[in-house]
Amino acid sequence: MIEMIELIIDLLLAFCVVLTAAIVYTKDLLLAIVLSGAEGVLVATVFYLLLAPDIALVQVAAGVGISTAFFIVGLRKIGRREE
Amino acid sequence: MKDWRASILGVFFIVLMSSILTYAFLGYPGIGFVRPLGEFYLFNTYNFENQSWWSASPNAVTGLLWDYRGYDTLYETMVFYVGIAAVAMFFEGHAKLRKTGGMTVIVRSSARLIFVFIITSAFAITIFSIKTPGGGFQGGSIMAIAYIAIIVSLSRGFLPEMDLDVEKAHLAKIAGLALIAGLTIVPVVYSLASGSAAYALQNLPKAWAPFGYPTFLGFASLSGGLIIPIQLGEMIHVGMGFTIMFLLLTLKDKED
Amino acid sequence: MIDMILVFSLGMFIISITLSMYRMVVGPTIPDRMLALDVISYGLTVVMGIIAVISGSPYLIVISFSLALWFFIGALYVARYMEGEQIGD
Repeated sequence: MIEMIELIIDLLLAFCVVLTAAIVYTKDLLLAIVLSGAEGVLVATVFYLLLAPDIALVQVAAGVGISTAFFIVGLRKIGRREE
Repeated sequence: MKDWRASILGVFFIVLMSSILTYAFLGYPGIGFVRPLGEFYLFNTYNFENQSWWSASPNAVTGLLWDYRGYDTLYETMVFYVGIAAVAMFFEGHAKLRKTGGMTVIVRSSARLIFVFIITSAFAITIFSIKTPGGGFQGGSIMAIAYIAIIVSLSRGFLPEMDLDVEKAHLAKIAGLALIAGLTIVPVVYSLASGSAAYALQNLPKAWAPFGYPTFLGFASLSGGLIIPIQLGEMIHVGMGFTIMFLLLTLKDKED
Repeated sequence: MIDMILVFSLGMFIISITLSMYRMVVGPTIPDRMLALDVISYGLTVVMGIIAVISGSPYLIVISFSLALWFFIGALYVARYMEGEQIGD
């Protein structure tokens, strides 16, 4: 069982690497916000699997739920495309 | 060419870092395994045989912080208060919250339905934070997500129908802070009047400071009666603070 | 028996998350990616639930509720933005 949990952690961290590369190299800021939301969900699951449910709750609520809303409000000011 | 090299270097660095972190996780103990340090705290924090020094708390965070859980909450709330005050200072003059259409009927109905679920889970996470993972800040940010969902899917003008506008949200926020402050003052005043020692934010009675909030309600453990009201105060403060911030930012967006 | 079924379904969900991850990274439009993110979130919710059942501790299931409730709202923000209207009107 423990081997399986370690495997899941490795897999999620590998996905995080892919998503981070995509966030850095994309020119579409809305896409970057969506991808960072996805990465937040994955990181929350990693926290959960490391038996830190408190931190995972903060990550889901504040790091993913609220900051995405604020970023999208801010996006309307600066425009969606990056030059 | 140069871009490619930079990106490969970046990905390589991230892979290196995450494999180092993964190697560190190999020391991860199995579920059900208790480290000696954990045994020490289990023995001292939730041991019914040894009630003179316990903290009456099965939750590790509350158990470790003991009386200091109150200070943790107080300073979290104060930092948040200063942040909201700084944001609110930029947006003076309260605009009218006008009611408009919102999104389609399906989205509006499901948002109303899900509002109830989210508020319920926020209260549950806050109140049961003495036993399960959670706490005031977590519950508050979940509560704020519920109000933000209402603002996004219905409209800003729906909030006055729910008896909430910027003024009332500020009042609720200050009431949460006042709850924490009032509970801090009570043991000190009481003990000074009765001539014994006491601490601010004292949670459990001690041998030399007999005042304490009740630890048990019937048979259910409250893990120090101060924790629940303090967490509720922080939940209201944080939830209302995030709601005000979102309202003001979208209002400012509209003027441009 | 039950343990075997739980571990098997855990593996199946991991595979489905991996497949949706492909759509997440490659998917040509934003709605594709939002849908993929939805599937990933619900898959991870179920993974958390299964692990809580296997380890037998009810304390671990709290997060899966809030994670399941959250993503409905994440889709709302993006839909609102893509409608091209002011957020909050």
